[in-house]
Amino acid sequence: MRERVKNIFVTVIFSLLLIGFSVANIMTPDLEFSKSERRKLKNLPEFSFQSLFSGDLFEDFEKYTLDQFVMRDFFRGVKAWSKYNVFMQKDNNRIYIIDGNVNKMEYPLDERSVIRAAEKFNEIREKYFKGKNWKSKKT
Amino acid sequence: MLFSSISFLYYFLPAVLILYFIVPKNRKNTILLIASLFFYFYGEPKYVVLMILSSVSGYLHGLWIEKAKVSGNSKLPLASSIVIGFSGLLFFKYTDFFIQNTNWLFNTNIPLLRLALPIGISFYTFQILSYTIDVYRGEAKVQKNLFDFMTYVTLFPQLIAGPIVRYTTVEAELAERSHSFKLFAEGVNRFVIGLSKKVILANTLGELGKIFADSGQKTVLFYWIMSISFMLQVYFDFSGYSDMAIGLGKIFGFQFLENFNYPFIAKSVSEFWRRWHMSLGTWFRDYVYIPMGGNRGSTWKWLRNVAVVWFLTGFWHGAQWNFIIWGLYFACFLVLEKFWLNDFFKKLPSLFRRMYMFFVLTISFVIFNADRLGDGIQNLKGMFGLLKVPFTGPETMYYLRSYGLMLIIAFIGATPLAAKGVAWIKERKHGKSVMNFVEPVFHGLMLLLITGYLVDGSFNPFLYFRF
Repeated sequence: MRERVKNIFVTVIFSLLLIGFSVANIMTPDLEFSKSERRKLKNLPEFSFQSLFSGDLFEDFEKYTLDQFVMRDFFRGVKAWSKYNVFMQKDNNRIYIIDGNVNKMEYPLDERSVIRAAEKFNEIREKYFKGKNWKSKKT
Repeated sequence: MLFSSISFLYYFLPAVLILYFIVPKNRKNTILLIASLFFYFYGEPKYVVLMILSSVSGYLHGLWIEKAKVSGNSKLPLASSIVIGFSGLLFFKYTDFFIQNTNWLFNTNIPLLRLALPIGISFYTFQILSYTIDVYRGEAKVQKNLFDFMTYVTLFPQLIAGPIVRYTTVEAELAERSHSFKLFAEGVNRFVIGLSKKVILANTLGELGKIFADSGQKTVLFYWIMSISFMLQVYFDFSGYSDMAIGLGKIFGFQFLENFNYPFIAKSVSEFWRRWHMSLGTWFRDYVYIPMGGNRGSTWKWLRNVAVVWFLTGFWHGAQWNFIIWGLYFACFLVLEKFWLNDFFKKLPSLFRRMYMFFVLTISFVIFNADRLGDGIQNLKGMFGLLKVPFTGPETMYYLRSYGLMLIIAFIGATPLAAKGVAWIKERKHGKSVMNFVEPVFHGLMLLLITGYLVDGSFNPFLYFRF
């Protein structure tokens, strides 16, 4: 490709990408909920002078731009795919895939929560199974 | 606003580009000024007033110096501009540091101010001073138009993280500059390269740093991985920001000077500092080191000048002791190199020089990273096996495998290898036309990938809040 053609090509494509996504973001209706993440998405923050000058308005707007980006799931997919397949990383957002199974990494171990769970188990045993000749079934 | 954010890339930048290129030539600076003020206001709604006052003060001092030159006494306005400029910086950035140390030294209990540091204050203060000093020296013409001067100070591409653009660099372009597809395309290329460095490399390495900090299974190897990764992270973060600034500058018709030139290939500490954050190094050279006498004069005077300049360079990075130590640490090696090490390494194979630089730099960034000095000592101990931790472990190996390729890419990316490769291909037959196609396509794909990283809300720290 000739130098001049390339320069025009780069200028036009870059401008179109930026402006195109910008317009698409403004035009597409905002979603309430993300099915793939099972959470509510941020909506456009309401304007007030107080939030404007405290900086909260733009902080919320920042979150809104992430949550309501067009083809959001596609872009997140691109990132996850390239993390695993291009950069050979082993987990994405602490999701780890091994032998076709998807695992959430729970590291570092939250010892307090393990202890709390163990205490609950003991409590249940004390309350319902105490003195009963109960054995676990081996399968 | 961060360059590496959806709001910048897909809201702010397209709007500014459209406005900038549809208005007539004599209105372009106005658009840039309004855009820059909004850009700053977005992140710092209150401190924008401080920035405006600082630039008005710089502008008025320029006029005053010029006027005083006629009567022959322009030293007074110069001193006034330096005192006012630095007192703003000292007050907002360093007051708490001085209070803390006074409290510690004299066992007093003066309450801290706990002011948030105005973003970019270290950069714009230095830019304004470069202007007034250069007007005093007769190296820059006085700027009569307040709005043009404010456009220079607040210019959003370089406002929050440098490079420290001198007034003389853009003096002519503020009045008259040209725009072309060539400049625009060059700017886009540079911007996307910088954005990739920041979002893909620096942020991923930063993620590794966070994992290390949270880890309960630290090992000697993990300490080393962390230190090297942090050094590369700072480089890609900072040089990525400079690339983006230079790229955006080109799009709007400004030619900023380079700020980084592959610092890690340097063979000595003095060379490293001629390649790392060059706009800061040359600022201190031209406005502090040389006026103090530089290396002319006795050895003692030179030692004093080196100590002062490197103390200030360190302190500029933040109001913490580790930055001061970091600066003086480099000063020590500069002195050692001059008197002894340069001769010593001449007789040895260059491998030894590389090893020397590797250790000096890795340790320097451990110091740079030590918010509390104790953390730095802890990390150094860990690296040199002085803590009772195993050499390696399953967690270390997991993260080494997971981040290994990223670290290798970062390592190679910090050398001129890729740039040399591209230049080599361009010299082949048809190489140029092939690259003219491949380069934009590659950068387009990178932009989409970066958008993915940003939309996913990946770890995206801002390292310059202390500067």
